[in-house]
Amino acid sequence: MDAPAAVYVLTNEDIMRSGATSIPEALRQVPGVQVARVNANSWAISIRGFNGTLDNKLLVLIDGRTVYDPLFSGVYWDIQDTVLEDIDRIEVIRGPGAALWGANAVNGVINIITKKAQDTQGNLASTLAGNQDGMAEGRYGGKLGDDGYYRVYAKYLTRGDEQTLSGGNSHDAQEESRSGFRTDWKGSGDAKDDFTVQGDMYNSGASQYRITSAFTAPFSPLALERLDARGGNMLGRWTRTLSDDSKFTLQSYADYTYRDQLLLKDERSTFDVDAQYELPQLDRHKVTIGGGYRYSVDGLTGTPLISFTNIGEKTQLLSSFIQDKITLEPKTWFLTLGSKFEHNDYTGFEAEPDARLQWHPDEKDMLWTSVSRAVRTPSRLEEDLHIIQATGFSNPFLLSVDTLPNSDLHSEKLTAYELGYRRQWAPDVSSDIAAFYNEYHALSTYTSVGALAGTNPTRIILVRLEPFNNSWAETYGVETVVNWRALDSLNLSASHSLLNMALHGSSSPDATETQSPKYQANLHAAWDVSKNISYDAMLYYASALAAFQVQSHTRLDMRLGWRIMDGLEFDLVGQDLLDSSHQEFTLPLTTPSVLASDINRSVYGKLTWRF
Amino acid sequence: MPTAVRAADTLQLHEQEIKAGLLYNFLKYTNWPPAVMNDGSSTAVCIFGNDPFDGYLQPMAGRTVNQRQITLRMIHRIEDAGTCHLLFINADEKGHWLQLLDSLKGKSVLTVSDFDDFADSGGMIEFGKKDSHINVNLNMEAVTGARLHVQDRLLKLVTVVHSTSSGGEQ
Repeated sequence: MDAPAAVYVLTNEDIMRSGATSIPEALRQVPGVQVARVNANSWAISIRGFNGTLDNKLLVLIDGRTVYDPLFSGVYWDIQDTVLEDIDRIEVIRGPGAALWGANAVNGVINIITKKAQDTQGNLASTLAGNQDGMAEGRYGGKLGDDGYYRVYAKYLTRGDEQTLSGGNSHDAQEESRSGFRTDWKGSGDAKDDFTVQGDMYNSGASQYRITSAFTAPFSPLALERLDARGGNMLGRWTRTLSDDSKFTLQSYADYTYRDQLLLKDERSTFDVDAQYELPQLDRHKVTIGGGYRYSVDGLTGTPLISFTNIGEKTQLLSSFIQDKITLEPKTWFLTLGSKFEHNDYTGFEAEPDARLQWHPDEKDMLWTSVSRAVRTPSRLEEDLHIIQATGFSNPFLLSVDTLPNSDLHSEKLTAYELGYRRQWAPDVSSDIAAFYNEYHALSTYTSVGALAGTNPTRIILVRLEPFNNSWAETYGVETVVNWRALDSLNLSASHSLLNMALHGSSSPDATETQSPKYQANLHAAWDVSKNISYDAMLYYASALAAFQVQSHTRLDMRLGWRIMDGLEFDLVGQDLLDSSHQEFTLPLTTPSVLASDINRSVYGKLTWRF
Repeated sequence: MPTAVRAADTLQLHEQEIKAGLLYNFLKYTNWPPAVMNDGSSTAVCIFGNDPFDGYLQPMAGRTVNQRQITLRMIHRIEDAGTCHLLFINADEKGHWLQLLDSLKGKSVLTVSDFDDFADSGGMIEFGKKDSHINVNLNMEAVTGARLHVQDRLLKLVTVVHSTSSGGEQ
């Protein structure tokens, strides 16, 4: 890999061999990525710190379509899915990817790329069943005329109830059905044109316990919420290859999401158009420029607990970027300078410059270093939403803790310094190490602005919290990966990551230094036992989350694959074999938050038939 | 003229009501060291000096918080302060504060008041007023120095001053 950045690529084989049944679970293998399963249907995923279910400073894309929700600057992982066999790779970039992708790519970018239609031809039928998971999917791929290909798929999955911390049923199960298609074809005529049109739609239902607030005893009742989500998207892309090293891409997509939860109902439509032009090599310069426009409109339906100033909001985002890879010395020294420019409706104009230097002393080694700036623009939650967070009895009055919006909130800023070294020690041994030092400024934390007498209902004390950019932090750490193809049939890989954080300014318990684990380590052995048997063992370790009283955890997953005959494979997978159940994350018990569950050990059998 | 005075009175009443109401929350979400808690079955809420709450604290007496009964006491001697769990110092008594602070060394008493610079001079919870808001400043150094622990639920509602963590001060 040639990129002067902390990149890790999860191949299709990595995903399938890991036994993961979802994209969040597949991401556990990636060094430096914190994956914490909250309950059966939700995950908190982040890179290099600040893990939470809201705002984790991560940009996530599926085939070029942004899936991070601007309502709260986070990703709803429960509804990000596809036929896993048809994912070509997941590229994970740790660190600011700002120069090409834009705001919210603060701590990293996760880019999920599906296979081209020509690579998913024929029939695929697959089903799995176990104590926790269930799934059935089918995909058919065929030809479109002479130069075109398509595929269509349908998938149904269930994620079973986990356990409450006291051993009961957590009622957090989810079921989801989705279907979609992808077509790829070449243009006729002299120009080298490639076209892609793809789309998906999904429908998901889940439930979970949520702590809500009420103005009568018991004030903080536990409610079983029903969560309904559905949506669809359509994306088109046109690439014209102008020469060996030059191309032009135009992409446009429309995305609709609908989500109905106890606290609010949110409907969002997004329309995006992006263009990118890679110029041919000009002397020592390889320049790429691009621009995009995104229009997003949402309609929120509140409840007594959540209200907002604007019921529907339209936002526009204009962005552009330029990147120049300068050859300082051919094949040896390269300097990449770039910047993204954005104009958004909340904070106006933002610039995110990026500089990367890479050195190839020989064919086996690469050293790189970078400095970049990234921003996280405020979410609608921070700018506009008024939430009654908690109510209680504070004798002789009622007490209500409200979070108020701050429409003057600024962007959070990051200046990141990185250093990395990649080496091919031998034809079958390689390593990759990346170190970083991040300075965060203007971090937004909910801060008390005092108490006053409320009037609704009467005799109530109102304590108000507002987000202010009053926090700052430094994080630093290192991530290493070593890969050894010990035998043709045996591949071993080990990775570890270290994260240190010092948080200053606000005393809010919502942002703590230990919301992400300090140490993580992974071990993966992939063994092709024989022509028809394959075996994988994966060990994952995450250190404790002291602030949340979540203990350190070691997880062992195993997968045994048996190729029964040509085109028919059976897999037996066991996940978290060392523990019958464990807790990975928790949410503050005061906010209107979901109750975290104890995640059960999972065992399943899967049958895959290609014909 | 009489109307204006009455309006000011009403605002004044609200302020004291709010402070009285918040005191209950402090009791509920503060942990005293086990030795102190096992030392009797009631939680003593004391006022040093005259009652600044105009009787608004009375409804608390006899109620339970964290499975313990609340007893309300008026204290006028510095020596009696050590027997309290929560001590509210009437702003009029601020001249005696440093003496009081000295006598409370080593004891786990949550000190609360509403005179200026209370938190800066070693007090634990200071009520302040800004516009029509009541601010609550919590001196974390003083709180942990008395082996008291304030739960997250309460931390959210206050502004921490004199933090003990590696972070900066407010």
